[in-house]
Amino acid sequence: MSRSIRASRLGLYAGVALLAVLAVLAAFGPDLTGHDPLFVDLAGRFAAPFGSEHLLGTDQLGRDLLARVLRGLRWSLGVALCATLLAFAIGTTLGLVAARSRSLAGRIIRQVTAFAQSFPVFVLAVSLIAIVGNGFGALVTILGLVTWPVFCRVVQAEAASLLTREYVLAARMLQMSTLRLYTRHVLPGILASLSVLVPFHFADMLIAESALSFLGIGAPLGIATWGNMLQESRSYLVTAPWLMLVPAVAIISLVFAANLFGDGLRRRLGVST
Amino acid sequence: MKIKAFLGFSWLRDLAVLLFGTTTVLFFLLRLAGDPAIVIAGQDASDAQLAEVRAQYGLDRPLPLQYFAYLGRLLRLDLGNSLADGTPALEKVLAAYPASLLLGALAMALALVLAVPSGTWLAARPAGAGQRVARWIIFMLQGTPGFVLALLLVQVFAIKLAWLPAIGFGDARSWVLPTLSVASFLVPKLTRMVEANVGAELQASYVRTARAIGATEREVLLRHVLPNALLGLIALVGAQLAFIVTGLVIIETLFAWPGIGWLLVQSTMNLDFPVVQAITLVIVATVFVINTIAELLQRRFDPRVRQATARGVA
Amino acid sequence: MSPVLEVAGLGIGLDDGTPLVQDVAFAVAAGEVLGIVGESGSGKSLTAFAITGLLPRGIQQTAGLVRLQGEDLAMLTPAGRRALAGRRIGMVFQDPLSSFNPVRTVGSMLVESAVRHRSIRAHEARRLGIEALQCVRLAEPERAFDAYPHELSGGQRQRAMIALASLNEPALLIADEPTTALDATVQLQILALLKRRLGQGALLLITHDLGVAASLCDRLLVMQRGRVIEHGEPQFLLHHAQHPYTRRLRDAALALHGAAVNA
Repeated sequence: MSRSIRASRLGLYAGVALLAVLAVLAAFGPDLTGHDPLFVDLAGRFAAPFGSEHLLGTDQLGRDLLARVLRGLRWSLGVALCATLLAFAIGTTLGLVAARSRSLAGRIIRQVTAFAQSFPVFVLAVSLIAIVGNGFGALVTILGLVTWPVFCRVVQAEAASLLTREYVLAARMLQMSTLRLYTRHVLPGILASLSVLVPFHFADMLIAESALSFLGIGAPLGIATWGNMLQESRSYLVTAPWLMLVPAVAIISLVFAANLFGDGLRRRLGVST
Repeated sequence: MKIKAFLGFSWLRDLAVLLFGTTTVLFFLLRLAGDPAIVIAGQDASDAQLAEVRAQYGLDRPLPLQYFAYLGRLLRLDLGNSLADGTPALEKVLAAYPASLLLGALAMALALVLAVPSGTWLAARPAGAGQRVARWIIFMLQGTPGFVLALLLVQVFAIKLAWLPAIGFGDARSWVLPTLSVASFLVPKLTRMVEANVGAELQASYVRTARAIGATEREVLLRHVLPNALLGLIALVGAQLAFIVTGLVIIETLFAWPGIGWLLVQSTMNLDFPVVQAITLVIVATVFVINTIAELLQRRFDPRVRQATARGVA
Repeated sequence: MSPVLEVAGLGIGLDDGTPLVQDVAFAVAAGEVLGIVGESGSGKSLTAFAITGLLPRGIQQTAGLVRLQGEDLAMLTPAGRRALAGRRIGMVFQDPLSSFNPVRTVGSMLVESAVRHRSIRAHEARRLGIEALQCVRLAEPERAFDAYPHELSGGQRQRAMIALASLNEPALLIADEPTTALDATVQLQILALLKRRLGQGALLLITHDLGVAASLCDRLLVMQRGRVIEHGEPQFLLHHAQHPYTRRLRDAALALHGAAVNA
């Protein structure tokens, strides 16, 4: 076995393990810390990490940082996962339509997809927040709606090339129904490239959500999310740098885990790009 | 590959279609989101204010008529007035535009200066020990959101070392951290793009010809491979621009840099919809213009494309 | 008179030691044309690349001696080796389109080679380059000089490639499948041109086509699986081939060229 395959396996397993630990933490962590992430204790403000009963210290209102970062993890995983699934569902469906259809709909989908590739969709997300508003459902919808072309492009290109393969042509000649054709031949053929996109997209959604919250237009103010925590930490960079470092490390490690997983998956499935 | 004829002004048509599509989507989304009068005038508007807004924007008329009236205003470049201070939205956006252009250009230049040499270096010796380490650093950087990196930069250079100002738009010293931060959105991705392009070009047969006439490794890279690799990079300028603009929105807000990214976030917070719309349109137009310039550059420097185009027009 | 090129016991292998070419030996004298014939994968092109120092990454010379005009190439520094490339060894490649840099004019390559190896100024190099293009019988040499590779036909490109390889009057010209990518009618012109450009130098012709080799070469070497299995004069090999592999190559050539080979 070559070194690179072993390395990719290691990355894949490490990524899976990290993601699993983080998912468990998101599910049960907030209840296990023994602290309410929103409980204000003005007497115990700015406790440094690893000092008191608060493992990661407290913030400017004396709220427990560990409890807050775990609650933020739940939020981040939730938004990023749902947005990824939404983008996946829309992108795959429209991609399959565009792969086959020479109709106006197919052309519009291809045009929009090509345009989205060189347009800063983050700007679009911000503009949509001005219209739709923020909150969990709105963020998921907006992020899903502006990023589906990522999936659509890959599905469209791969499905279009699959549809010209001989065995698919043969199946079409045998009058196989469109639904059967897609579920039996096309979808399995594009599954590898499609599944590799998921972890990377998840990481992008995670970054986008925390960036929007950081800007003050993502998660509603007051609830514990990493973006909000970073936003609040800016006033205390000098006196209490851990307020910034704790959520920063949390974001970096979750994105890192997703990238590691994606990279391992990509090499394992032998998908380029 | 189909190459659009520049002289046929089809690019103008493309821009028109693009702006038309974007504004149409924005128009109907605004209607979908609820009573546009409330969105335009704000949640706290009184009934009298709402009535005034409805009359001003013709919101009491049937939807198709409203739509055509809206398109008519767009054609006159009337994007409405800012709800915050009543000044024309487009004017407000254009006033903030130069600051963004400066920061974007600086960041793009810095990203190129960093990414082109390091990407080339990575591709020249893919298995080198230094290259392996560098690849890991890039992987880590790719996982670090730009605004987190910016906060760390502020922490180190503005607060710990106190070398540079933490926020604001003043002399050249205040440009350093924002430029670094915006560039950080692009550098890891751009480095990978350069590495991939140079790596692919190094496999080409003409590299062997260059060696056969005695070119050194350095000459092979600089005189033969890089021109081809950079041409490939110009084609991807749209994707690079997307990273830069995303960086501008976030970093301008973080550093209180008075550009359109900062204005976009402020206006979103204030639900100042006309300004948000104007910014979106200005960014669409900018992205389009830069993509067109990139296409022209490619045509200027790639003899194959140049000839195909000449034939296409004639 | 000592040979221009002398190869003895040449071995080429992968970095992990897997042998690709073993124990190849031959010599080429001035004015002589030596052909190396074999199917793809026989090691004939690797042999040529080893002589020029153009072996791809991961493949290296593992044994043997290569002497150019009596000079042991293994004793040269990398810089010394580069000084030979394009000066004393000229190389013509198989596919003239991909072998030219798509964004550089034909002339810029000629100028680069002339300036590097002769330390002359650019305008002199231009005159020299246009002359070289004239020598390979390109109509409108000035236009060809300023042309990009895609603006020339396949035959014109290969003529330009020969002009580039022979620009500095190398002692040894190596042509690796120079006619494979070309039409049959153009093939003969290019072969004739190679022979004419030879002058006082030696020519090493690498080809899979025994017919092409027989029409041009003074002597032939037949390679299979990295080894020389037969050698001799073309007419002798065509009529009295010992090895079944050589007979197969001959039959393939006969099927392709018909009676032309026998004539």
